[in-house]
Amino acid sequence: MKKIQLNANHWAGILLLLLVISGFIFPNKPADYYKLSAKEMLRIALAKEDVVTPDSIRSMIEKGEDSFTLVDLRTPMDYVNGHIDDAVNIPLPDLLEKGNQKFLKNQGKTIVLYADDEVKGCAPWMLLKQLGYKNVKVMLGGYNYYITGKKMPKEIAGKCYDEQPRYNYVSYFKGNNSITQPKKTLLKPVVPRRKKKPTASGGC
Amino acid sequence: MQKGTIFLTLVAIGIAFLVWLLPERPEKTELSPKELLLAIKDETRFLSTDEVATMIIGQDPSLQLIDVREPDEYKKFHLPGAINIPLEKILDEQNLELVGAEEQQHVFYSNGTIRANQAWVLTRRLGYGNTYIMKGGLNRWVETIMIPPVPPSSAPSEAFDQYDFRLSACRYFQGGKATAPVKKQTPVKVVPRRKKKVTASGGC
Amino acid sequence: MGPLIPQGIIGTEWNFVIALILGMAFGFLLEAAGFSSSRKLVGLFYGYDFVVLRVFFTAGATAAAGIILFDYFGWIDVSMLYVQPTYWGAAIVGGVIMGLGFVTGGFCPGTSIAAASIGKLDALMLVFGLFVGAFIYGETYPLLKDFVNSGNQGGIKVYDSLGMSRGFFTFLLILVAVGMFYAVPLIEKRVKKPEY
Repeated sequence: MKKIQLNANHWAGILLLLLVISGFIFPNKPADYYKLSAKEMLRIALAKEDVVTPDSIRSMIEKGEDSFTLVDLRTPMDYVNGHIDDAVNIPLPDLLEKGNQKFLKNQGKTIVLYADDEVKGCAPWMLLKQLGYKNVKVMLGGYNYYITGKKMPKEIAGKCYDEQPRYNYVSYFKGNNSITQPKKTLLKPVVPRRKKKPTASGGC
Repeated sequence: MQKGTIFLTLVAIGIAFLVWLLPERPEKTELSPKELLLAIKDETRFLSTDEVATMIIGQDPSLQLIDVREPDEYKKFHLPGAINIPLEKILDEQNLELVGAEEQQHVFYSNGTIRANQAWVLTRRLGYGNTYIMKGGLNRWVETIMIPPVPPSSAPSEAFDQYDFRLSACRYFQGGKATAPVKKQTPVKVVPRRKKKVTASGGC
Repeated sequence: MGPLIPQGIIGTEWNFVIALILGMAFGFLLEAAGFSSSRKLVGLFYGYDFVVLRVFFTAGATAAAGIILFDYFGWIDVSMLYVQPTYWGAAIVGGVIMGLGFVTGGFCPGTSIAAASIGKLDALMLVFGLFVGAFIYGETYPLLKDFVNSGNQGGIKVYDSLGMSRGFFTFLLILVAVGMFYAVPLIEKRVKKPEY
């Protein structure tokens, strides 16, 4: 009887020890983490260097250039229904999956992302950039623009197509100023973010 | 028996020392890349121009429009009640504090969607949860609110209701009439989708 | 990795299923530890049986050390765990009521249900009283509301209030627990154990 008791204690201790050791050996450190700080990312975003026009992609494909990999971020169904030649389909939800990460890391070529439009391509591009991918670019206009076959206007080369003001806003909003003033006072109580909240509400 | 007790005591004290000596992880507010991807996938981060217009007209006190364009663009024209935080300055301390005010819904907008989207990705990565993007930006605003397309006669009645709303909203923003729009949509209460980190807010 | 539900690894709809399973396991272990006997439970107050102290101190120390280790290993994200906010006044009054009920009734809420389920009549009465008490509390809540919700300290933690690190506090907790395991048999030996 005594012996069994002793063994049980020992077993418990050994199991515990194994658990602790396995914790040190297999820590669940995040597989991917940001290599760029938010500030660095902001600088890159403002530089706007990582944009590619659909025209240049098209001409590169025609020339048979092999210096880039096109990645289609749309759903598999959209991909099957039509995609740019040689594009690889990585649906956005699966972007961070291990196999896809490995694939992207081992490319060695420029990765050009595209989605339906450039807005949908922008956030994934920022995500990959922040994860430390250097050679990632995003195609302006997205697939929807690409299939129209239109040329991008020259003056927006290197800028975001989407961000160009297309209207003279003021002319549409004439006499707007009279509303602006009362609005501003209404929105005044901006409470700065509290670092530590002393209050709490139950029910969680 | 005695032996077993001593063994367990030693294990307990060993673990106690281990716990004491382990370094603590810094409190995490930043989103992991996976969480960020989840947030990017979530389309509720976008508000339509109609939703924003409804909130402005309904004088929703929780609405905080943030114009992320350049100051001169802002000076030329901005939506009523919007404050100006150019994208370059979005990560400045006092601006982040503003974005962190939890009582408000911070809606980024720019000419298009990209800049607002970038501001959103950067702030969301840092853990600011109450942020949204006005989809399509001011370009879409003009196209939908100021010069709304007339729905085809075969369209469902909702489309006409929306059209009516846009017409009256247009009048409202042109300041011609201070009267509320004919068909005032029930304000869309946007519930932040991101699950709140419980302790981060200090006891729920 | 964890906590499983807030991280979305297990859906929230599993909340109650998991709660049920954990509740059953808890009840089983309470019964297995002998907590369905009120004599054993109140032995803590009279000094002849400290099994309550042992069990709960072991549980507390194990959980504290486990959470810290798991947090370090990255298996669980402590910042996502819910910390019950502290209300000074309500906590003190509630603690006094609970203690009085415990020593007179012989059970605490969880053990009363464990004991009732093995057919102890006194525990059954206590469970009944529990519901009556909950009912009265619910009915008088508007009167008590201000007091109950006053003095909210938020999810404060002992080690923060004492100004020590989390690890050191847990270290002390485990040492105190171990020390107690050695000390309480000395008290148990002196007090005459009643028959039960």
